[in-house]
Amino acid sequence: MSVYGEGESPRSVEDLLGSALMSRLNRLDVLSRKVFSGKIHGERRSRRRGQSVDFADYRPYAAGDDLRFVDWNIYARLETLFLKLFMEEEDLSLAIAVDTSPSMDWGGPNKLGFCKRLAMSLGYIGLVNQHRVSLFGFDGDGVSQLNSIRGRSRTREMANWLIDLSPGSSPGLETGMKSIAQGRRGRGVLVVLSDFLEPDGYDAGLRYLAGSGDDVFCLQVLAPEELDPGSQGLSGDVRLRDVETGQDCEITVTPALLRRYRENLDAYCSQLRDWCTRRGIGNLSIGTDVDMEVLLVEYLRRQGLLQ
Amino acid sequence: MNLLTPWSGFFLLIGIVPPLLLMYFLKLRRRTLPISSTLLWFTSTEDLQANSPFQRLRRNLLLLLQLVVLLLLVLAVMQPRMEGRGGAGGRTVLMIDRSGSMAATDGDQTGRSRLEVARERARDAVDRLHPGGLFASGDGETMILSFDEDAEILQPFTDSRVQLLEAIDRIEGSHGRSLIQEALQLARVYSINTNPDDPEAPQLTPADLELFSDGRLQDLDDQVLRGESLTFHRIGSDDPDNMAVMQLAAERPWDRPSMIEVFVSIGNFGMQSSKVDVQLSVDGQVRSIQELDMPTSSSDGPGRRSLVFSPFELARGAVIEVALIREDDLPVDDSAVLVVPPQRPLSVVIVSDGRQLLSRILNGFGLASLDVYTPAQWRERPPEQSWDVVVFDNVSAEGIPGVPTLSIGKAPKTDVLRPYGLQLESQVSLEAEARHPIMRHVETGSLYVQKTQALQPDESVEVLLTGTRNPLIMAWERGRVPHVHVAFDPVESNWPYEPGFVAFLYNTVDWLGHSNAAVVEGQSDLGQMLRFMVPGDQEEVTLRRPDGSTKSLVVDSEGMAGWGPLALSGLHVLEIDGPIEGFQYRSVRFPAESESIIEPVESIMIGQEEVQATQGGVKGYVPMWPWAIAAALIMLMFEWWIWNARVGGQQPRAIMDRSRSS
Repeated sequence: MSVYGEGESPRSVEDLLGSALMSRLNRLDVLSRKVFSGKIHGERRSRRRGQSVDFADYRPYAAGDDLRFVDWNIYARLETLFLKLFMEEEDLSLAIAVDTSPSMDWGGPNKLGFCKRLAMSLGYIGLVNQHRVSLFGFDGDGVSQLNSIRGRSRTREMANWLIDLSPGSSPGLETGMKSIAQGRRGRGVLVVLSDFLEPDGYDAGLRYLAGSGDDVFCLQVLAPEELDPGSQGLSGDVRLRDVETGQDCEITVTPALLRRYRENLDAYCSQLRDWCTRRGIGNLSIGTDVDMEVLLVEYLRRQGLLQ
Repeated sequence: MNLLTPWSGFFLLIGIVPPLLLMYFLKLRRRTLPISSTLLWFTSTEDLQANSPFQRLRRNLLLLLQLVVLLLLVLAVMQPRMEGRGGAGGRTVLMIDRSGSMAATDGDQTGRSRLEVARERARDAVDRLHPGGLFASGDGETMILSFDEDAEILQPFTDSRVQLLEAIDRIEGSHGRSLIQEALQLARVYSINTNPDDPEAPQLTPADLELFSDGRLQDLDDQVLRGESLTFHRIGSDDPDNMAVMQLAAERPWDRPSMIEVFVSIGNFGMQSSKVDVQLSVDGQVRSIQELDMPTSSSDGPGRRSLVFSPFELARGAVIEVALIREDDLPVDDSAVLVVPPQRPLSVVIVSDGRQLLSRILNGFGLASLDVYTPAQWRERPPEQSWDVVVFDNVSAEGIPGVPTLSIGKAPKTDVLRPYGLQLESQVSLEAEARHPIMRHVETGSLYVQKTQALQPDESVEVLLTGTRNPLIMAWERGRVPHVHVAFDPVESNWPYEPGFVAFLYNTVDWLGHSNAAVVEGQSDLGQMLRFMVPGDQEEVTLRRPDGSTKSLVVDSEGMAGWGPLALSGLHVLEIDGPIEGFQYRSVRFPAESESIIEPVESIMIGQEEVQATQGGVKGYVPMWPWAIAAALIMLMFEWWIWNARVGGQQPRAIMDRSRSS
């Protein structure tokens, strides 16, 4: 496992989000499977009727209604006053939570670096589409956040925040999710970037998100060494040391053991997916070696997170 | 089951098992790799280890299996073997008796000889010891050795079944005596020493000796086993029938030298008395048949009868054969042959002062040659010249050592006569030894002797004619050479005028000349060499053996051809072809005193140890080490399966269960 170790972490905006990708992301938007109420007028259709150009419904005219919205054509045919209702366009709250536990600072390409670039891309999409973007970093040491930024001009601020985001010393999915769920005001789209390889299980943490009302997406990020350790050079008699717990696991790598590991990994990911599906949480397992543009343009669009 | 090399396995055991245990309990040095999470790795390995309630036992099961594999390998090194039909470990010597008694045809019901049956049993033994195949072939070695009076190694130690069988087929019977000493010595030397030529070579454990014989071994009293295990395979029927010509001799009657008289001794070694016809043949022609009533054998020995065939005229040489006209279990001792040479004419020299009396008389005897020398000529005689008889006619006798002499008158210079210088006069004969060949037909009653030299012979001298005052004719031997002295000069007696004088001279010359000439010639014993003088320039001659086989013999530069050591009794005939054709005969005696006793023994006493005859075959041992190796391999495969089952091959049920439960 010669490539096992820490990978490169993004050090500039260009590292996080290249200009070419940035231009392609301008055409994308975050898609929410739910309709949330925005705080300010935005570019997103709201459940409330408002003043957008999108027709929503009719209702009988009542005294005091604005006569500008009376549909005179219907009045001409039916001699009854009906009021045209239009969709209200509001802004969207996009929260991106990045797992900064020690297990994320591992792999080649580095999982945390990959998550930073993915968070940067998603955040950029949110900023471009005038959404309120919030970024969270969580680990056992606590939650750091960049709260509610809006507009393309905040791109650099977001990038700098991500660059400064450093790995913690211990895992903290449960506490992080709890803190994020309880600290959020308003609902929106919440994307969690993590490997979900929690010694104590992921379900306790995700349970906080499942009941928060947010449209939650769990993107499980795994390194190639985790997906297929055999092809990445793991062989012989080795002592595997957990970077989070310091626990050692002595193994003798055999085809049977690798096969068993792959089966366990598939089962683990499948079970995470099932768990999320049952609770209305979107889920996608991705490797850090996947091309970011392919991920954003194809995978996440197919998953309904982007459009 | 026993172990052939237990100490090797023991040392291997103490050398390997502790390191294995040490290695098992020591942790393997592993390189440490940081990993994001050991969660899945733990579950993967735990799946293999945790699916049994006996986890610890299963972990130790690998050690247990490794120990079992190791112990099986150690067991294989120890070369375990089990008794049974199959190969043997160790070293085995098959000793096959090929002596005369093994020629008996009571080996089995079909009339095969004991030697053939011994060969068959030896082949069976080889089959048992070296059956072939990895799981049955012996890891031991076997030596083939046959013996009679001499022992012969037909195949040194080998594990080659083919070579051993070929060696058994090469065993030829002989008529020699059964002496096991040399066979034991050879077996001992080859089985104990790894290199018989090197006395410093490491010693091995004694071999197993397998003796195929009737047990009639002549020298058992002198032998002792030195750690060897001896198994006696008795061959022969319980009550064999055998009569043998035990002795055969011939003589020419002293009074009829041209005739021959044959003496035969017949022995009955069986338990039934019976009559037997004894046939005398001369040059293959039957001359006489006599019937004998043969007594049974007893604890004192065989029942014996002697037979004398009436003298018959046979001046020439001939082959005389005596045969028993009956069938018994040992045909080879039913006949015996003698080679009788023709009477040989003599060459005589007279040493005389010129008297012609003796020369004129001896001229009429038909001698081969008669020389007359004066004493001076006698002293200057050619050294290579030899005669059969030297006659000193009243001269001082100075004979040739080894040549018989007749001295007349003056006494020879010998210490056995001791002349004391007196001249005795006027005496007559008093007593003659008429039965002596010299004195036959010699009338001495009217002998008168004028002068006689006084002699005092010692005890070795036989007085043939005693005078009234002292011995007149005396005979003695010195170094088996006969000498005759007449103590008076015939000229000074009336003997020359008596017919007995000529008869005396004839008898004396004939007796002296033929005293060492055997009536029977060319008789040899088994184990000796035959030597033939081949006339002419023949380079190769043919020897026809008693069994009818022929051998080509090369004649050396001295005109001699040889053959031996003799293995067969009977008549050996040398056939000479070419310009000088002819035959030479040699008879070889059969050791009837020992080999005609063919009743097989139930046990043999070798030293103080009694070895009972065994009824079974040679002990075979099935080598178990290939089975131990096979079992070790199976255990190894089982261990691999256990280990593989621990590491992989099962469904990841544990993770799913754990996730669901959480």
